[in-house]
Amino acid sequence: MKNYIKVERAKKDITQATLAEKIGVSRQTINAIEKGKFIPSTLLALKMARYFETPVGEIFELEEEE
Amino acid sequence: MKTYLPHYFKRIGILFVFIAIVLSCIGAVDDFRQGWVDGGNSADHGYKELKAHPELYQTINPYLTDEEVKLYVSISLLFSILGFLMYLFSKEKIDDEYIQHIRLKSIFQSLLVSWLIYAAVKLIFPKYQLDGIYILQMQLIVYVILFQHNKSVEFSEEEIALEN
Repeated sequence: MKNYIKVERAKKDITQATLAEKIGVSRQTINAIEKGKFIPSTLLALKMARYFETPVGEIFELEEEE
Repeated sequence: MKTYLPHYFKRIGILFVFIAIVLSCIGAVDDFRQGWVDGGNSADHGYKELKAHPELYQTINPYLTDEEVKLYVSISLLFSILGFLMYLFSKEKIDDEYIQHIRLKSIFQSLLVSWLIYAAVKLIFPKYQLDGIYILQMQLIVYVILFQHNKSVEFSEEEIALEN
């Protein structure tokens, strides 16, 4: 699964630590999600979408083979 | 996996395990002394067996009675299991779903590793008696080691990634 968290962060000009604080997780969790090492739960994805004020589908995207 | 205890219970758990180690050493003092006399402890002939057959081996004059040893070992086991369970069920500083993922992964790995250790012990020392409660205790010890390892590996990779 691809994600555009880094892009969304850049748009808002915030660090991983700030995003982590806003949605109540650790910075390591944000980094692991950004790198594609960890797939977040629906709840966490929705929290991110709410924070970025964008649909979940624009932050997370399925890849061809998925 | 849900964690129910606050973060500071982790330290209380570690303290309980430390008390358990001390009590266990006190309970096994005569076994240690026998091992010192013999030049090593034998898995085939435990201290109790040696005491029952004094004609076979030179036995030491014990400091503790059998009842005292049993009491120390039982209390030690209780502290140890309680300590490890406190550690298992206490929260991290930031307890989110990623740390829960690492926790679950560590529990699964500890199950496999403890079974491997059990199999290895049975193969290498066939006469060695491993009671059920000690297998459960071993599983908890393996979990604590693996959880710390997995956490440090996952988190250090994050640090490296951030530096680059």
